[in-house]
Amino acid sequence: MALVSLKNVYKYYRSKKGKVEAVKNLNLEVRDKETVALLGPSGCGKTTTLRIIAGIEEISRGELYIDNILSNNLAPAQRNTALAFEDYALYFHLTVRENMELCLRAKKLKPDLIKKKVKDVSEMLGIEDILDLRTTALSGGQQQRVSLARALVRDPSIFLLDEPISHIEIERRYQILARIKEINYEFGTTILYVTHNQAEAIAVGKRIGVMNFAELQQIGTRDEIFNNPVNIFVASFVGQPPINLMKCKVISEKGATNLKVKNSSLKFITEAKIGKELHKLNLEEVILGLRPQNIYIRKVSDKQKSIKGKIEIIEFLGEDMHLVLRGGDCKFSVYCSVDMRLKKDKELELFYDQSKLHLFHPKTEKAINA
Amino acid sequence: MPKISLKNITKKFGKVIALNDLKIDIKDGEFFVILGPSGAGKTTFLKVLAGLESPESGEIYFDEDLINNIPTPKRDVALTFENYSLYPNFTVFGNIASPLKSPANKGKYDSGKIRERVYNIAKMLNIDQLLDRLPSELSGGQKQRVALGRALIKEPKILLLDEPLAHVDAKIRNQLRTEFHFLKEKFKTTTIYTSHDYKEAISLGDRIMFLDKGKIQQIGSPEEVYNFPKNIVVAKNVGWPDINLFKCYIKPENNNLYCPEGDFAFNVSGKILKLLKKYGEMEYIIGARPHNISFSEEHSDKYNIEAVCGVTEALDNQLIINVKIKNMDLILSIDNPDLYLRKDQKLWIHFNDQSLMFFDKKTSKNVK
Repeated sequence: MALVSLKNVYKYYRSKKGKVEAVKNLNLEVRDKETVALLGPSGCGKTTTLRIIAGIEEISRGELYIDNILSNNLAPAQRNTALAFEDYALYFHLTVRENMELCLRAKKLKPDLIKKKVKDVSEMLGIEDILDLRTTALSGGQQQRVSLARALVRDPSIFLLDEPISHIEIERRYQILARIKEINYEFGTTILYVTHNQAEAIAVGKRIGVMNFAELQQIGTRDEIFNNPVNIFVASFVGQPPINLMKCKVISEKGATNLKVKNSSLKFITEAKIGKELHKLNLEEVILGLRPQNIYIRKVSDKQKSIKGKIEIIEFLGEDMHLVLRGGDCKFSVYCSVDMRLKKDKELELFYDQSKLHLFHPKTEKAINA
Repeated sequence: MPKISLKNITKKFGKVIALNDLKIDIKDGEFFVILGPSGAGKTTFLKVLAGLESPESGEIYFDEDLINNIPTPKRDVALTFENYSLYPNFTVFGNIASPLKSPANKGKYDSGKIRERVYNIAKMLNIDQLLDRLPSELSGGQKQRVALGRALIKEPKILLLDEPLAHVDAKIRNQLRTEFHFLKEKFKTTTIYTSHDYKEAISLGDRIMFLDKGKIQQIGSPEEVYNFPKNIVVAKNVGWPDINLFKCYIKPENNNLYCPEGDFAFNVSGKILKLLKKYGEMEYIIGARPHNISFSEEHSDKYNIEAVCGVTEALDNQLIINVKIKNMDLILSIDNPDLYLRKDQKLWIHFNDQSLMFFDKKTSKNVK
């Protein structure tokens, strides 16, 4: 069993300019057998969080519990975690095999067992033919696989993986991700996975924690993060192509609340309950977010409302298409399945669900929900 | 803008053949993308066009002019390098202005004119606020824009871009790729662009040339390369998740296709059967894109091949499903990332024969 919980954790670094907050009031719980991905831009504090759990950074304030035991002062070796570093941290004077065997030998496992474990993990990650090479002879992608292998070979109760596939060839990345998930299924190992790549985070994490400026912005399932982002940062950091954000004027017409996009003929109609909320807040302006995946080129249901746009760019992507359209001064993008009849400069009627309109406060940038 | 013709171009490095007998015509104003894995010869190709490498044999024509022996400065081409190669001691302004101040252009442009052109280009590339910075103070995406600005300022007849988006983050890459569409429209220069990312290639290219180990595998429009890859190498490298490839035999007794790896058989239309019979083999390799395999959670006449669901991955726009038919691994993908499938649950598969590809077992060529 492995349950990690961080309660009001702060981490400060002292520099000449004063105190730098690397992690600010972090409350995070990684449940037993869960995979959580921590996602955020560089410098957001995600790696520091991982290092705090591993025990190689001290906590400035707050509490860390592993399996309900206060672990602030537990030595890294006592925590039964395995950490894969972003910069690999391999032993360069040893071979790949020796790198992988080291911690198993330290635990005094039987040689047969060590051999078997090294074999299994190296096959899984496709490094079985380089086992006897020195790590200096390897490419960056190979070194990273060795680093991951060294963590995976240990069966700890928690894996802490810091950007573990960022330097591996794109074609192999998702195979390795699938393997990591299989380990989680099979052995029930708790995994905390740090990345700046939203697609990876979504693929690996049962829940995804989005961090920015040392704070956890939101944590939730893919569905929650994608469909109910708490603020503009989360909405725009997650999702590819990025969410369309449009500055709108709030206008009441015939009892309905309309959002008119600035300098554009585009007009969106909100749900009645959201309209009420906007009036309650007495807002004249809002920021509207609508995902390119939630705009359709064909009407899917009768409840859908429509907008019009002129096609500026068609990107054929094989399985799908990415369109950039223009309505007045406002450009927005649409992600749809391939339709060869679309032509540049064509005027198009597009459809959206009112429930997929995300509204944000123009000042606080927080989501407005009814 | 000239058209470019290459006739039987071969380039060797010692014993290694980097370019093997290339014959290509690139049209005036075309945006031509060279797609291929690393080591395919993409960069060598650009260098041969720029005059930085000379071919062992063959001829290069810009319009009707043979240019094999014309030195680089007189070819009127601009090349951007994969690693940008900006001058570290020059500001962004200095870097972009550098071609206008080169020895070949000495005295041609006065400083007012240079300033005007640099500002115009910088504005177009959204780097006009960065003109006083040094390259070391720029992000990868910004460096790329500066390199592009430096190439465009000469208003070259031919623009050669070597993996312009290879070293920027995924997010910036998608954004820049879309921006390239606008630039393409604006400049209409004959452009040759190399990439190892198929999405970039099919999204941007008017035509695409797939290069592997110095050999042309296919030249065609994005739709042709994606929907009708000429051979297995192209099929494997264009499209993601990777195309599923598995063996099949024609069963003469009931005109089914039988797949030994998964021990299942399925019907195909008479048209396809005729095509395969005409081709004359009994054994083929089927290529099925994950997108084009449909499935159902219920058994029916249509969905009649039993499979077991493995790990699934929900991405932004799709769900990737690893399944097993007996011992055969198969990858499916659907547009609905919110669909919930249990691991080990049964799924029933249907192969849509219209979108299946058939490859010759020996030559790996597409039969269609």
